[in-house]
Amino acid sequence: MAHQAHSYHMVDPSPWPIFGAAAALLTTSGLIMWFHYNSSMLLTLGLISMLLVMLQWWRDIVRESTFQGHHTPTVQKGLRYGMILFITSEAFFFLGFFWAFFHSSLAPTPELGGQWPPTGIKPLNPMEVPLLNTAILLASGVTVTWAHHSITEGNRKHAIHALTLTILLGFYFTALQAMEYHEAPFSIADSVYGSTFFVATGFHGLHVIIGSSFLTVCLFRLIKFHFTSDHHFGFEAAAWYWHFVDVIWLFLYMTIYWWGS
Amino acid sequence: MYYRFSAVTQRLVGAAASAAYSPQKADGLPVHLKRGVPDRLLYRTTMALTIGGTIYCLVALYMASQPRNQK
Repeated sequence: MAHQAHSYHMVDPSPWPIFGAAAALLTTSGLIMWFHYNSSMLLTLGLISMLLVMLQWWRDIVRESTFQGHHTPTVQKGLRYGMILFITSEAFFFLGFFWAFFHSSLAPTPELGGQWPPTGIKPLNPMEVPLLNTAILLASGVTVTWAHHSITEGNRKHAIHALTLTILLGFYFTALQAMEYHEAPFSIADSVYGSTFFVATGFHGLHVIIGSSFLTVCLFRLIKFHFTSDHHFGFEAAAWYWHFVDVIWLFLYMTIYWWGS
Repeated sequence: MYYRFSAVTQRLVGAAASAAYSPQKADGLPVHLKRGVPDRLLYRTTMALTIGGTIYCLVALYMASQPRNQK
């Protein structure tokens, strides 16, 4: 019986990468069809197939690691590099939107009334709901760290409680932001102020939802005994992502909400 | 309790592996089809949606690239 002479994981052939690429094609061309031709069929197809691919690909990774034991320390190191690089790329993604904000706000044009916030825009009070949202995300950073320590110490009850609390705080943030969006006196169409505000905070909100979903999956896996006190990289990756989301919010709060008001 | 250690010999009893699914069985199935029927269903659904969608997408893009008649 042949055994490999290395500690890397040679994965089984998988259809998910190519199906994922096809799903991306459907989603992007679906956006075009929705924007310009008033048809949402392709977009719906794209989003559903994207969801199916993500579910099955990540399900397979859980099978390969937890149930088949392929995630050696070498493999885990590669996954760590991968997650760090991915989060770095997301940081650059947000950097672009911050650049756009400062481009417009540091030298406001005459069309805006030569001032920031532009004439007629009533910005949200940074000391009200946005400050509460800051406190919520900071607290969730504490609870996710508490969850991690509980996992390494083998304390199952505390780990479940702390991770549940983190997810609830994430949902609370999302609910409050949704309410703020609904109640805001300005819209995305209100000059470059609206554009920069809603695109930057909107993508951040999307990342909060992604992070909360990742943490929720980790909670299910935690309850089903997938993690050990030494080996729980899925949880660590989710925690890194969550801290990243928190840091982005802090930058958003300080620049767009506070300095920009 | 479903399982326990037997009295003198301390052998684990009552914890037989599930007949339905054994993740490490060398049955030649790739990981994305390891559980059999539910995996196949999901795989075929995903394939139908992506491949069908890609064809629909190419047709739609072909039609969108045709020039409109000037009014």
